[in-house]
This record gives sequence, structure tokens and C-alpha cells, in this order.
Amino acid sequence: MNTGVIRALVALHVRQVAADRSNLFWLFGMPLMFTVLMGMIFGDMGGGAPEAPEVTVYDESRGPASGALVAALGGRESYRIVVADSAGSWELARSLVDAGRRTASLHIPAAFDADLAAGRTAALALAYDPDRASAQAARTALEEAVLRLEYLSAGRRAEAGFDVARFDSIWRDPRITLEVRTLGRLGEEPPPSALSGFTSGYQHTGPSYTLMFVMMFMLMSVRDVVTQRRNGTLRRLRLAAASPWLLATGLFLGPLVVGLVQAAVLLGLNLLLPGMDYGDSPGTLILTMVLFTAVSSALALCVATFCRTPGQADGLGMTASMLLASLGGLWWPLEVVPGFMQKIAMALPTGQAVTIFHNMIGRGWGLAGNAAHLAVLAGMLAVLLVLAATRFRRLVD
Amino acid sequence: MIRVSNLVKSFGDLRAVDDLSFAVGPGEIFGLLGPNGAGKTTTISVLSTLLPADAGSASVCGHDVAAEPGAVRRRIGVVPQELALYEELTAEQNLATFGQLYGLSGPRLKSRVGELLELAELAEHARRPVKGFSGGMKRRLNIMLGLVHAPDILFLDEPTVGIDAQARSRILDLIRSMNARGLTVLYTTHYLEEAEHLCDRIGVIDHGRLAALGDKEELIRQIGEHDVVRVQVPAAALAPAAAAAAAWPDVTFADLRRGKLEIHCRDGAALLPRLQAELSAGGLGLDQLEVIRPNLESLYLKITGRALRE
Repeated sequence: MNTGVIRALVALHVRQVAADRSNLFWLFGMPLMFTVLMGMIFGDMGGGAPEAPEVTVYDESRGPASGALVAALGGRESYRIVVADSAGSWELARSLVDAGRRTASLHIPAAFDADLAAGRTAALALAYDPDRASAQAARTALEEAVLRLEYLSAGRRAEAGFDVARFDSIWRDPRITLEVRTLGRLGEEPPPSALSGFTSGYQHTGPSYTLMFVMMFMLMSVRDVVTQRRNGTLRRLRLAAASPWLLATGLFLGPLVVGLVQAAVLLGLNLLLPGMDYGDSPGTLILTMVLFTAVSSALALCVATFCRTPGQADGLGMTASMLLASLGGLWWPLEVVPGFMQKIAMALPTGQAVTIFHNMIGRGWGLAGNAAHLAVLAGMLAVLLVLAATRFRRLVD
Repeated sequence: MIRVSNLVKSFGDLRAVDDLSFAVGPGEIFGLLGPNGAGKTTTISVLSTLLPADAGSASVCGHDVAAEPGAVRRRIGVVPQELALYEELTAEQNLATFGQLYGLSGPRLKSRVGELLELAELAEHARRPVKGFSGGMKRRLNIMLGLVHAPDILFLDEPTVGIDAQARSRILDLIRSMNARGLTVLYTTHYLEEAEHLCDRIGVIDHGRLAALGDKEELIRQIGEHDVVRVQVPAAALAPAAAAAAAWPDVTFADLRRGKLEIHCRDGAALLPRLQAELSAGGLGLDQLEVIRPNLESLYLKITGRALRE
């Protein structure tokens, strides 16, 4: 592969973009305006009261005793209980506390109910951040709930009156042990997302408008390819670049480089917005943006091969970006649309990418949790690259 | 440098190039002259490896265009009819981009870009966006982009379309100066005067076929026509003058056309004293006289039956 030709083609695209100063507005100004405006419309921006911090309960026992314990922990104002879903794990729950994204996490092992029923000692584990009042409240509530459960289970049934002897026996020989582990960012402020709800306001508009404008700018560049084809510069490039594959690679990578710079700047500036962070997996963030930007660039090249005039390129590029943005959940969270629309979104690169962002921000998921979505994006990229390269070759040969 | 043998290229039912053969020697400016749609651009596209031929063969600098396209492309520069420029970039950036694509970098690239800007008299405008250039400046830059990698042969496809006479003259001077440095040029045009004044040899092409080939004098000889002398004489003298002229040696035709006496002869200038003497003897004089020498246009009209700018 002639890397000199590819470097020259990438540099050409960068020069073209840089030559028109109005592109700065389309690349950065317009997206930021939309992000702030729509973020204010969507949520709780900078003025609303934050929701209560979350305590994760990872209940593997799922019996009446563990259920009673979880019920006893609930209904507090200082924190709210989130039962970990099937995709989670105790390690993940603990890591969320460690990262400051949850105030505390409780692990109820699978044998908890069986041990209590058999009269054996049952164990619980609590990971919590002692710097946070909500975590202290959760710990106190847990200790109260454990005591009550022990008291009740020792008597087999609730009885009227207080049995001092029974309480004394529980106190001396507890049948439920609580292993407490201190985690968290001692002395540090927790990240804003740990205090706010699940991807509301800027947490949605920041990433989603970044995705939308990265894709939109690339689809706007379809016009450039069509213009080059019409004014003969593409033929000139073909003569100089030697092979259509090399030329296609350069035309794919040029917009990709510009798109990645645009994404990096926008995602960086988004961090200044209230409540904004991207979770704890920079690798997932980088991989997602690289894959999404590459998909957008391959799509743009593909669309360019279907257009004969700059007018067609504008129309098709704009229509494609509007459809992909709206159907993919970039204009509003996918949670608010009907089920079948959510399924459509998952068939689009926009839907896959924004879901990864939601998982990173709201759930703290990294590469493992988002592996399926990343794989789908990679698959879309492969299909679009093959299609774009094949059609492009027919166009220039 | 260029050898074309029985080249054929069709687009559907249209035979754009039809059994075309010619050769161009080193350092020559060879013109392909023909009207729009004659097959000039298609011929250049095949020679520059952008289009495959259906039949026949072509080689450039000893490399077969079908078998060794990479080697051919390294030896040729192509200047398309369109202004194939990046208008938002500066002249310098345009040249640097194509220089990089051809593998130039660093001081070599900088020096080559500077040299071409000087050659095109664009050095003062090197850092201005091309979109602000005049038509002539754009045309000159368009030519320089084809030269950035110092090719041995330059294909110029109607490089003066749409510009004024002064700008055209500068471009023709530019081509001559490049040719003086040893560059071989294949030049297509439908402007007769350009072909006549610029090219060492000319191939007249029509409907994809080579209709005539040679230098200007050879082509005129190929026409086989004589000077045309048109004389306005008093009506009473027309018939006797025509009869007298028809009897002179070297006169192939003498008769009345549109109220004038028209005489076809080998040398119109030599005929005039005789004609004047003949008329004076009868007490008559010449009212109006016109001598038309054969030229490329008359050759072309004879060959194709079409005016070149159609």
C-alpha cells in the first residue's frame, strides 16, 4: 500500500475543509449550540434538584429473606435502591462504588436464604463510600434491617412484645454476618452523573449531537466527491493515485480524520456542561467514536457513488443524516419511543452508538458490557466499506 | 514516443474511435484537430490509461497502455478540458497536492512547485485561492498540474476553451516554451488557427477516424485543390471572359457562380495579369477581385463537409 498517496489524499481533504472558514461553524459552533439548546429543553439543566444517589443491590439469593432485606432498605429519601440487572456482576457493582458512580453496593449471595433456613450463618457484603452521607444512611439502614431479620428469623415468627433474651442471643452470636468494604474516591467529589438520573439533559444531547454532527458533516462532504467527479479532479487523482482502491482508501480516510478531530473537540467541550461525563472506560469511548466515524465516512463515500449532481448529493446527504439521526435516537432518548422504533434504531449505526454512550454514562459499562454493540458497528463498517469500494471502483474505472 | 495502431473504442452503438493509427515522435507537438465529438478526448483517455480500448493497440514511451498502465502514467501528464482544480485551495496547495500524489516531498516538492509557478507566471498569486483567478490564470494552472511530476509527454485536451485571445496566446507561448525544453505534446483542439500555428504535425480526426495527417504544407497538398479566383466584371463580359479563362493552361474550372466569374487554378496570383490584359483588350475593367488560397479550413471542409466550430 502506497502510504504517501494516502497521506496526500488525507492532507488534501484536511486542506479543503480548513480552506473554508465557515466549516468551523458547521464543525464545532452549530453542534455546541444544538447541544446546549436541546439539553436545556430536555432536562434539568443546572437548576433542578439532583435525584437521590443510587445503592446497587446484587441479589443472587432471590428468596423471601433476601426480598425482605431489600424491601427494608427501600423507601428512603437519602438514596434509592437499584437492583442490578442480569448483565451486571458483584465485581461491576463494587467497581461502580469505587469509581464514585454508586454510593454503595450490597451483595446478597445465592446461599443467603438457604443458610438462614438451615440455621447456618449467612453472609452479606457491603461496599460503600464512607465519604458520602447517603452511603452512611444506607449502611445504617442495612444494619437495622439485618437485625430485624435476625430477630424475626430467630423466633420463626413475629410475636408480640420484645424478647430480651432472644435479642441478647442475636447480639452475642449473630447469624447474619456483614462484611463491609470501604471503597470510593476518598475526599474527592463524586462525578456529577453519580448524582443525576440516567442520561438526562446534556448527558443525552452531548453525545447524541456529537454523533449527529459528525455524521452530518461527513454526509455534507458527499458534495465534494461529486464535484470532483464532475470537474475532472477525480480523474486527475485517479491518474496520480495509481489504483482505484488507493483512491477510495484516501477518500475514506480524509473525512475520517476530520471527523475524529471534530468528535474529540466536541466531546471535550461537552465535558464543560453540567452533569456530563462519559463513564470510566476511555477505551470504549475511543473505540465507539472511531467505529462510528468510520461508518459515517464509508456511508458518505457510498452515497457519493449514487449521486450524479451536487444537488442530488445535498439532498441525499441531508435526508440520510436526518433519518439516521431521528430514527437512531439522537434527537430524543430511545426510551421514549415505542418498542418497534427501538428495534429500528438498533439496525442503525446511530442507534448502536448512542446506546453505547447511554451504557457508558448511565450504567458505567465498559468494553465487555458494550461488546455486542461494538461488534454490530464493526459489522456495519465492513459491509459499507465493501459496498463503497466496489461501487467507487466501477465509477472511476 | 506515442504509437497508436488501429485503435477502436465504442460506447454502445457509438464508435468513438474507429481504426485510428498515428505516431508522435520525441519533442514533437502533434495536434489532433477535429470538431466536438470527433473522438479526440476518447483517444486521450485511452492513451492515458483511463479507458480500455476495444481493439488495436497503443504504446507510450515504449509501454503498452493496456499492459503497463502504471509505467505509462509515470511518463505522461494529462491536462483535461475541464478546469480540474481545487478552487478553494491556493495555486501552491493545488500543485503541492498533486506533487505529493506523485511522490514528491520536502525541498524537491517545494522547488518543483516554485518552478512551475514561475513558468506559469503565477508566482505572485501562489497563495491566493484559485477561485479568485481569471480564466486564463486557471487554465495556466490547469496545465501546470499536468507537469508537476516532470512527465516526458503532455496530453493537452482543448486547453484554451473559453478564454480570450490574449490569454490563449499566453498559453500557446507557454506550450511552446515547454516544448523547447524537450517536452513532447499531444494537443487536441477544434481551433484551426491553434493547430496551424502551434503544431509540428496535425492529424485531422472525424467520426473517430483519421482523415488526414501531415504538416501544414503536406495537408494542403493532400487537398488537391487550387486557388479560387472570383472576379466581378460587367455582365456583358462575363461569358466571353469565362470562355477565355477556360482555355488557359492550369485552369481547371472557369464559369459563372452567383453572378461572378469563378476560376480554379494552380496559382491565382499569376493568373491576374493575364486576366486583366484579356479584359482590357475588350475595353473592359475589373470591378471586384477575390483570391482564396487553400487552407486547413478548406481542407477540413472538404474532408468532413462540416465547419470546425460546429
